[in-house]
Amino acid sequence: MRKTWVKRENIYYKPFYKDKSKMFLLLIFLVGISFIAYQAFSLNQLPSVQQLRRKHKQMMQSLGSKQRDVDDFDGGGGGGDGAGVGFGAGVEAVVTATQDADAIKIIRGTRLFDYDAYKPNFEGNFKCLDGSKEIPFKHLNDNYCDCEGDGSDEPSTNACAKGRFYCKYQKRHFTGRGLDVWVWTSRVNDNVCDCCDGSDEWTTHVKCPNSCA
Amino acid sequence: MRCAVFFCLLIGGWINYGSGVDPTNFKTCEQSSFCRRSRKVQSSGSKYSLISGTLNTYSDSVTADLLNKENHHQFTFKLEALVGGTFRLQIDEKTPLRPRYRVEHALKAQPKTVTIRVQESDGELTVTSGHSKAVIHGDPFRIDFYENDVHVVSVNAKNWLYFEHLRQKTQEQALPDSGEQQQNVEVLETLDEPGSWEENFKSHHDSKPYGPEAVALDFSFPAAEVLFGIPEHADSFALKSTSGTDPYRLYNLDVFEYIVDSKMALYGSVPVLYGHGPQRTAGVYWQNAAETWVDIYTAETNVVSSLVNFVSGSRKSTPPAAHFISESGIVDAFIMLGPQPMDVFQQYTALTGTHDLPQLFSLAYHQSRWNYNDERDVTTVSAKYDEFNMPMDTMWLDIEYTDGKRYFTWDKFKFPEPLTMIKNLTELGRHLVVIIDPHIKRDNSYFFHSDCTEKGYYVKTREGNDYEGWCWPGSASYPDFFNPVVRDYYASQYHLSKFKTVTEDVMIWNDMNEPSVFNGPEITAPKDLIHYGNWEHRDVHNLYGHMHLMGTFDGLQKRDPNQRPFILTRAHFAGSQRYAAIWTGDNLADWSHLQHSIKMCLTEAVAGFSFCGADVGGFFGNPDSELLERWYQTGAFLPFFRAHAHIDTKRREPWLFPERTRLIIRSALLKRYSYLPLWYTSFYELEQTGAPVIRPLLAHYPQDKEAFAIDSQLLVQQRLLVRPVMQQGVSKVDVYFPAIDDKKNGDYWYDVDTYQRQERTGSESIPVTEYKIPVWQRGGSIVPKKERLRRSSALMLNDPYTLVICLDRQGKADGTLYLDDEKSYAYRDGQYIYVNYEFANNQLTNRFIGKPKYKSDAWIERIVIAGLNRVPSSATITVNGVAQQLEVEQRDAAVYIRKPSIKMDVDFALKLNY
Repeated sequence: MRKTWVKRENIYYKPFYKDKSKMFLLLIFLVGISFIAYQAFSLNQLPSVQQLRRKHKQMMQSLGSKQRDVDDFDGGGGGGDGAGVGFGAGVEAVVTATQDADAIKIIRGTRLFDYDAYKPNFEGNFKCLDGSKEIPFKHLNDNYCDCEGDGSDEPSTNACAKGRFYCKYQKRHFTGRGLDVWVWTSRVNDNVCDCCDGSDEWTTHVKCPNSCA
Repeated sequence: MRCAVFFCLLIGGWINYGSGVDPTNFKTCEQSSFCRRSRKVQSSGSKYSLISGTLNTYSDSVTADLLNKENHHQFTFKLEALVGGTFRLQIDEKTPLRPRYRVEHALKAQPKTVTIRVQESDGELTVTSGHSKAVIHGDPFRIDFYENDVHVVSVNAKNWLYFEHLRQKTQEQALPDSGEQQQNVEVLETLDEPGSWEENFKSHHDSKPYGPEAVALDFSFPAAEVLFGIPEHADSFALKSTSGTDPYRLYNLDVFEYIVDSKMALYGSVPVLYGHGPQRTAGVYWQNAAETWVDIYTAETNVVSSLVNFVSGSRKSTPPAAHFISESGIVDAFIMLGPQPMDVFQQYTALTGTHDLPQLFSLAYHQSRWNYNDERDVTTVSAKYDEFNMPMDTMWLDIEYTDGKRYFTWDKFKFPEPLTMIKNLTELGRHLVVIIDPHIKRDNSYFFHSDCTEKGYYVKTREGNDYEGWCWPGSASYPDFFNPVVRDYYASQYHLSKFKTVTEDVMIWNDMNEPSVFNGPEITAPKDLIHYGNWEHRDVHNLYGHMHLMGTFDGLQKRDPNQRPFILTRAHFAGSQRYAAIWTGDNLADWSHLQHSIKMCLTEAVAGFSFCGADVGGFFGNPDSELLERWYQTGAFLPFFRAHAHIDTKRREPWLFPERTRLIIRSALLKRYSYLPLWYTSFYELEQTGAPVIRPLLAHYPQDKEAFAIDSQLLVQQRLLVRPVMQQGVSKVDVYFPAIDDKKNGDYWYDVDTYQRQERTGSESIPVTEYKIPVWQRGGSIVPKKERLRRSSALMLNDPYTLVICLDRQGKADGTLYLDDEKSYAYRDGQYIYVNYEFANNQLTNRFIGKPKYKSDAWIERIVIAGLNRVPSSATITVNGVAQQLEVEQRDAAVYIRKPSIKMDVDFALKLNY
C-alpha cells in the first residue's frame, strides 16, 4: 500500500476563542491580575512600617524595666518585710487589662500570639490554654500552679513544671515572622541566665549580660 | 609489652562477659587454712576458763586471766561497760611473742565508759550497768548478756572460742612429716595442718612468717529469730544458715561480675551482726580488720534438736548463733543490747559514727559512665538533660580522663581545658566528680610516683622493696595510707595549689581501694606485705580502703574548709561511713541485680552506711528499656542515685531510648527531686541520732514476724514505704503492709500519687503501670517536698515547700523538716532551721527545734492533707495574731490548701474550717 501525503494546512481556520488552551491561559492571567489588585488594595489597609515599628516599641516598653516588674509582682510567698509573713502581699491581678486600645501590654513570658487568651473571659475567669480548667483571673501569675496540664496560668513564674517562658527578646522580623524564643518556666528566676537578654531572671539578682546580638 | 598484658586482661574480661564471676579465683573456707582450722572447733569445742584469783574490778571494767585448759596458754580478758547499753569484750594473749594488731581508726572516738556494779556468787560474776547486765561464768568460760533481765546475747555459749597464740617457728615445723618428734602438744596440733606456716593459692605464695594466729568466737542470740548484717554480700537481708556451705566471708575484694545469692566476699567488710526477735534486738560488732569468715546458725536449721524439742514438749530451740573467725588480731567485740532495732542501730553508730550531713547535690541524681570521651561529650550530655527538661546534678569522670591513669593529671587531648568545662557545669548548679584511685603508676616522670619512691611511701614487700602490682596504669605501687605522713602527703595533693586543674566544687570518687591488684592473689594484695608500724597486710587488709578515705577526706576538707566533702568509695570497713558514700560495685544489667540493690543497701544501712546506692542500669551488660526504667524508679528511692555503665556497654543516656522510656525516666527523676527535702532532713537526723535513713520493715514493726525477712521493700525513715517494681513485665506487685502488733493492727498507708488509703495489714496485690513507683506514706507522718522542677538541686535552694500530711487513725500526724544552705559547715554554728510540724484536731502547728537562725527565702506553697473525713470549706492561717483565709480544693482523695505563703522561720497555726 502506498502512503499518500495530505497537506492539511488549509482545511479550516480555528478562531482564537475556540482554542481551549489559550482561553485557559487568559483566564489564569485575569485571575492573577485581580489577585494582585486585591493584594495591592489590602496592603494599602495595613499599618505603615513606621506604625509597626512604633507598636513594636510600645510592646517592648510595656514589658517594662526589671525594677518596675518586681514592684508589681510578689516574687515568692513572702514579701520583703522583716516579719517574713508573705501572705496578703499576694498579687491580686498582675495583668492590668488593656484600657488603652492602642497600647499593647502583654504579660511577661507570654507571646503576642496568646495575647487575647490572657484576658478575663466573660465570667471574669482565665481559661488554661489547653482548655482543661478555668481559674479565677486573680490566680493568673500568682506564683502557684493551677493549670498543671500546660502551666499556662504561670507564664512569668516557675510555679509549673510544664510551661514556657517567652523571652523578651524575640528574634523576629518586624512583620512578626520567625520562631518563638522561649525557655522552660523551670528556668525562670533560677539564678542562671537563659534568655539572651536575661529577661528570665527578673526577681533574682543575677547580672545577665545581653548576648542577643 | 605492658599494653599487650593489659589488652589480654581486657580480652579476658570480655570473654568472661555475661558468664559472671569465676568463683575459683577466690578462696573457699576449705582453701583458707585458718578458716579450716577454726571451723574444726565447731565439732570438738574448746576448753577455756577464767583463772580464779586473777579478777580485777575497776570502776568501769573487769579484767581477769583466761586459760586454755588444753595447752595452758594464758590470755587476758577484759569486759568494759560503755554508755548506751553496750559492753566491750577484749581477749588478747597475756604475753604474746610480738604484739597482736588492734584495729585503729574504725571507732569514731574512744568509747565512753560507765560505772558498773559487780557481784560475785558461786562461780558467777554479775556486772551490771543501768538496764544491762553481764553474767560471766568462769568455767567453762561464757558470758550471758541481759537487757532488763531478758537474756539477749551469749558469748562462747557453744565453746567455740579459738585463739591461736603466736609461737616460734622451728625447723621441724617447716617439714610437716617430722612432726611426731615434737613434744609440745600445741605445736603438734598445728602441725597437722598444712598451711599454718605457709600457704599457696593458685600461683600465689603466702609466706606466713608468723604462723597461725587466728581468733574465733561464737555469739548466740537467745531472744532472736533472724540474724542480719555483716555486709557486703550480694545476698538476702536475713542471713542464711551456713551449715553445709561456706561461711559468709568478709574480705575486701574486687570481684569481677559478682553473682547474687552468694556468700562470697565483696568490696566492703563491716563485721557487725544483729539478732532480732519480736521482743528484743541485740548486736555484735566484731572489730577485726583481717580476713574474717562468719558461720551462721539459724534457729530452724537443726532438725534433730527441733524434733527432740517437739517430742519433749519443750518450745525452746537452739538460738540463732554466729561464729566469727578472723585470721589474726585479737578478740575485740562490742555487744550491743538494744532493746529495740533502732536502739541497736544507734548503739552501733554511736561507736563508729555516721555520715555527716552531705551537700544536697550528692543526694540528687548523678550521671556517670566509664567514660565520657572528652570535654564536648560532658558538655553535650549536660545540655541534653536541659533540652529534655530533666534534672541532673552531677557528671562523673572515670579513669579515662587522666593522663595515662596518672591520677591528679588530665588527658591533655581529650580534656584540654578542664576548668572551662567545670565552669560550664557549676554555672548551672551542677558538679563534677572525678576518680582518684590508690594505685600509682610506676613512671619516673610522674611526680606522685617519684615522690613516693624517694620518700619510701609505698607498701613494702617482705624484703623491704616497694611492692609492685598490676592495675589500670599497668605496673603500679600502692601508697601506705596507714602512715600518717603518707596520708598527709596524699591529702595535700588535693590542695588547689597542687591540683590546679579542678575547682573546690569538684568532688572525688575513690575506686579500686580494696586494694585491687590484677595480678595479686584473689585480685588483691598479698597478705605478707608490710605496712607502717611493721604490721602485715594480713592484719589490716580490710582497713586499707578506710585509710585511703581518711586521706581523701582530710584533703578535701583542707582544700575548702567551708564545704562538706563528698566522696564515693567502693572498699569500706566499719567507720568508713564517716567519710564516704558507697555503692554496690560492679553489678550486672539484670533483674536479679536490681532486686539485690535494695537487699544490699538495707544491710549496709543498718551497718552504718545509709548513704548507699547501686549503679542504675547495671554496670556490665546492656539493660533493655524496661529494666532501665524500673532501675531508675528503684534508684530514685535509694539514698545514692547514680547511673553508671561499663566502657564496653552501649550508651544509655535516657534520650537514646524511645520517647516513652525517656518520659518514664523523667518522671522518676522528678519524683526523686520532689522528695529531696525528706532525704536531706533524714540525713541531718542520721548525723544527729544515728538512725538509718533507709530501714528494713523490722526496724519499726519489730513484732511482725512475717516482715522480718522482707527485703524487697524498704522504709525511708518511718515515713515512706517503698516497694519498687523489680520484675519484668508485671502488671501487679505484692506489697506487704506490716503490723504494729501481733493482732494484725497496722498503720494507714497512703499511696503518694493518688492518696488512696491502705488500711489492712498483710500482703496486698497492687496493680502497677509502667510509670508507677509503688510508694506509700505512713498515716501519722508529714513529709516535706519541693515540687517545682529545676535543672539541678542547687537551683532549688529557695523554692517553696509542699507539706504532705497523712493522718493516722486518730486524725493526727507529725514530721520534721530541716533546711540550711545545703553546702557549708555553717549549720554547725546554728545556721539552720529545724522544725517539727504537728497536725491534730484539724489544726497544723509548727515547733522549732533550736532557734531558726538560717535566713531562707523559701516558703510553703501548698499543704496537702490526706485522710480527712470531711472536706473543709476553707482554712484559716494565723501568724503573729493576724489571720488570713485560705482557699481549699479537693483533688483525688486529698485536700489541697492553696498558698499559705509562710516563710520557713515563722510560727504559725493553720486551722481547717467546716
